[in-house]
Amino acid sequence: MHTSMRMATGALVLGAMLVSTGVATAGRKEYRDVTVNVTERKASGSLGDARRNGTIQSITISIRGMANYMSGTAAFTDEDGHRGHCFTTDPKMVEALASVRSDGLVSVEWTSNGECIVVDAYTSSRWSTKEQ
Amino acid sequence: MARAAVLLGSAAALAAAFALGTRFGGNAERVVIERDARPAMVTPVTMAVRPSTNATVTADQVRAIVREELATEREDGDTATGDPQVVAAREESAIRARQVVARAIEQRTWSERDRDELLAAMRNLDSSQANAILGELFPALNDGRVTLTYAGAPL
Repeated sequence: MHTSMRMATGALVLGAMLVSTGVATAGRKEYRDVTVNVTERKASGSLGDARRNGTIQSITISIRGMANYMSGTAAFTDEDGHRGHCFTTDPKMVEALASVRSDGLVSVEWTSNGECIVVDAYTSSRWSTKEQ
Repeated sequence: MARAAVLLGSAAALAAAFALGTRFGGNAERVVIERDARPAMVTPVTMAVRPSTNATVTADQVRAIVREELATEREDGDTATGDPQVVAAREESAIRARQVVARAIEQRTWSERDRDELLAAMRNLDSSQANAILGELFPALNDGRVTLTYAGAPL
């Protein structure tokens, strides 16, 4: 009797664990590696995936406040080591760069002199959060 | 009868004299008032008028005028910052920043030391100066003329 109760309890606990694991892993997931195209002057990628995939991929956004202006830069490195960079002192572009989050997807385009002309910042549960 | 005519003539003469006196007296008062109302001194107004020999303006003339106006605005802007030493320091910082970028392009590398030096020089610049300097560095980074010696952003 005791044995059957223990088995029943164990089965319940196991079932609960499986259900909870299933809930935690549910939902749509997407992976976005870092891509850099210097010919077309654009780059994009997910911060979480760049961190997680273990290659040299990286995305760095920097915002700096100076006495007379603010600047923002975006730097991308893909898994082949290609790098793409853009900068801006346009307050709206700086604001867009500053809105990039660790579970975000960021995409930029730049002019021939490296100035950012497009900054797209997405945040979604579909992309991984940045891990330690 | 003759006496009445003399009286009437005298009355008419008196009336005429009164009327004339009133008129001249009134005019004298108005003249005085008008003089008092005039301003003591008239401020001279100087207007610059450019002589024009031709009603049409060529594209070159428009460019020259725009350049002249922009130069004047720039001078006014520098003056507006106040202390001439501040303006001189800003120019010196811009020169230093350009030197850092030029050196990196020559050496084909961008190090953390370069980054720190550039950031220090850029602190006092305005956005147009910063754009001009970064507009030299970033194309060199993107086309491979300059390579980062560390991971992360150039600035």
